[in-house]
Formats: sequence, C-alpha cells, structure tokens
Amino acid sequence: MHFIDPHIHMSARTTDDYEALAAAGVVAVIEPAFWLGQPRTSVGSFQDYYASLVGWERFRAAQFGICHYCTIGLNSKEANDDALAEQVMELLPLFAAKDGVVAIGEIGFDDQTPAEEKYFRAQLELAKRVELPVMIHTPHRDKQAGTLRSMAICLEHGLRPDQVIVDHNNEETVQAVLDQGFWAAFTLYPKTKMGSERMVEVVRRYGQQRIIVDSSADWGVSDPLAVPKTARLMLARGIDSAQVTATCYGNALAAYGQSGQFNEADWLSPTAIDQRQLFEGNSVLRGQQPLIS
Amino acid sequence: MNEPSPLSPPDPVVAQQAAWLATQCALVATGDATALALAFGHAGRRHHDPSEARIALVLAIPAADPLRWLAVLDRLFATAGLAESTALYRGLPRYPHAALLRARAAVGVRSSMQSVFEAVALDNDYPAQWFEQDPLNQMVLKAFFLDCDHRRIKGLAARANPGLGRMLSDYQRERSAAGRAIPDGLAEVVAWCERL
Repeated sequence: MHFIDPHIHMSARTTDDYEALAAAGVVAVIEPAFWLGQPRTSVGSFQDYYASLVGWERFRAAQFGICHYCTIGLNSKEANDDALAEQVMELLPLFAAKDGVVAIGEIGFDDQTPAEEKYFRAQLELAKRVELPVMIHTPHRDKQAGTLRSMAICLEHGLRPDQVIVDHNNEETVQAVLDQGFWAAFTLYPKTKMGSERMVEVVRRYGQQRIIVDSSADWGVSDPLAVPKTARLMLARGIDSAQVTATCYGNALAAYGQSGQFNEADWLSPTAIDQRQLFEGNSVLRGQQPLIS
Repeated sequence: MNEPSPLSPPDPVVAQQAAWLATQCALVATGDATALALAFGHAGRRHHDPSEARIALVLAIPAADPLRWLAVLDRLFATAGLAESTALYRGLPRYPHAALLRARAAVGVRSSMQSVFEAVALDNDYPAQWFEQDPLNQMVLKAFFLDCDHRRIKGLAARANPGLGRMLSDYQRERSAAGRAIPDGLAEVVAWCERL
C-alpha cells in the first residue's frame, strides 16, 4: 500500500526518517512552510528557508526515493510582526509559482489577532492569483471558533471549499468542516491533539470522504511514521482498505493535485535514485557508498 | 500538395503560450512585481522555452531608474532556482544597463555549478564586451579546467592578451609535467595571445 504524508516538516528530520518513510511505503510528502520554533528576525531568513524547501530539501528527499513537495506561506505566529510580515508578503510570489509548490500554506490563525487576519486574507488573495489550493492551520487555542472563522474568511474571498484543506482537526471541528465541503485533515501527534486510536474512530464515524491523515512531524516530539502506522491500525480494526487508501493517500492526491503539480506519475514511474548526484555541488553522503537504484 | 505553407498559423499551443507571455510582459511593464515573480516561476510550466520566456520577462521590467531596475533583477537572481539562474545569466548581454551587471556576471563565473558558469562563459556576448581583463582571463582558464569548448567563448580571439597567454602556458606545462592530456584548443588560444 502506498501512502502520502501531506503535512510533514522534513527539514527538521534526519535521513533515517527518510529511509524509514520509504520503507513504510510513503511515496510522497508535502512540507508546509511554517515557523522554526523561534521567531525569525529578518526577511532574509524567510528567503533562505523558502529556497531550501524548493531546493535542497527536495533534492535530499529524492536521494532517498521520496517525492517532496511544499507549500509556501507566512505562518500565523510570525504574521504578528507587522513590519517583517510586509516584507515577507513581497517575497512570497517569488516562491509560490516555483516547481513543486502545491499550495499556499500553512496559514490561518494562532492567537486570532488583527495582524493574523490581515495576512491570512492577503495570502488567500495570493492563492487565487497563483491558482493554488490553500492549507489552513487551525489554532491550538479556541480551536472551534478559529476553525469556523477561518472557513468563513475563505468563503468571503471567493475560494471554493474544495480548494481549501483545513488541518489539525479534532472530533469537535470535523463535522462543521465536512458539512461545509472543505477537506478535513487530521494531524496525528503521539500525545497531544489526535492519536491513531482516535483517528480510527473518526474514520469509522465519518467515512472516507474528504478526510486526510498526516503526521505534521517537525522538530518537536512527533512521529514521522504516523500515517503508515495509523493505516495499519485502521486495517487491524476492520476499517475497509478502500477507506484506508482514501484517507492516507487518495484524498491528499485529489486535494493537492488541484495544483497541477502533484501527480501520481511522479512516484509511480520515478527517476532512479542516484546518490552520486549533487545539489549545487553538495551531497547527502558523508563518505558512504552511494545508493544507485 | 498537402505540405503546410510557411505562412500557416503557428501551432495553437505555441500561440496560446505566446499570448500568455505577452500578457505577463505587459503586466510586468506596468511595474507589477507580483506578476513578474509569478510569471517567472510559471514560465517553467506554461511556456515551451522557459529560458527565453524568462529573459523576455526581465526585458519587460521598467528600466528608467537604473538602481531600482537593478534591485528588481538582483531579487530575481537571489531567489532563482538552477534553471532560472541559468536563464538569467544567459540573458546578460540583452539587458539594459549592462555596465551595472559586471559584479553579477562575476558571481556567475565563480559559481560551482557548471551550468551557471557555462551560461555566462559560453555562447554569451557579455564577458568579451564588458569584463575587465583579469576576470576575463580567469573565466577562460576556468573554462579549460572544466573542459568547455573554447570556440563557444564569444569574442575570445579579439580579447587575447599576454596575461592570458602566460596563464594558459603555465597550465599547459602543469598538465604536461603531470603526464595529463592537454585540453583541446589550449595551444590555439596560447598562439593567439603570443601573436600580439
């Protein structure tokens, strides 16, 4: 069974993780632009970060047989630095149309401040102009209200619900998100938010339609194998394999495939792994024998 | 009898792409920075000749104020991927304010990416027209190091100079001393320099 992890911050992960993902059947990953655990203080830091998402990280993933895509956006936390956010907004179009960018995201609310709303709206307009779907980060605090508000703002800007993936859902938000026709993604954290056990029950209750599973693995305590592990648990608990495939592969493909840049052919007829290759003169290897498939 | 006339309309896809590019260039000419950024990225997927499309977009950037123009171009360079960089460097001799681009061209020559180096050094009128002697000589020597075909360095014969002759002769002797092959054309370029 093939899997897609449509929300995983691979820049923060090791090559061991890439090997484990490939071994577990993950064929493609989407790395949303987000924050780095501490606020950036200059626009150049954003520029180099976005450049690495479309450059080095994409290359690094391919060296381990994984197709890497990303989303470009200004995250809600850092939207609160208004002067810097203005400069980042000027930068975003330079990356939003590059190869491998499959959405604008992750954007939305953190503390639900006026500044967050301003840059959320500005980025929805950018998404329309660049013709990309949107990945919404729903807030950890006041989640229910923040989720409803995020969807209302998307509709106000003329986006269709099926162009928007609402992420970090829980049992409290899922019904409203599905009722309004948005994609409902679930981040499976080992301890907080959703766990695999709860995810099984969500799929049992709501079925497969427009539900997407992801790991959101990053530099914090998280599990990059959350998608394949949850898929296995679903199967063990008697969930139909078509539903497992939809929630752990097919729905992400349909949602982000709207970008025109997220195609099954990329991983079903892949270019061979060749670890002799270099990116701007640099290798992922440290003297090891290059793997060539 | 059924052969297409040379005046037959272009392939509809090509025409559609040309229309897309013309629209984007018109927006860029109004100073629309977002249009420039997005079209520059989209050119890789929305035009059959991304390199030419990207150069056309650069040529549409308002150039009345040279320093503002340079700032816009520098930003494209700074955020460019490999194919985009290569296109930008290839366009150097066609841009306005060529004298302001020497430092940028030198960055391309120093690149460790061969395709970027070649975009400046080969099939490009910029170096022979605008480089000072020392950077030009370094570029020619690097081209031989990288096994490039010296016949693709435009205007080389006219820019031959004794300093270049000395550098290339040293390189020739170094290769011989190590028992390694002399790159094709090296002796020819040395001869141009020594005729002076």
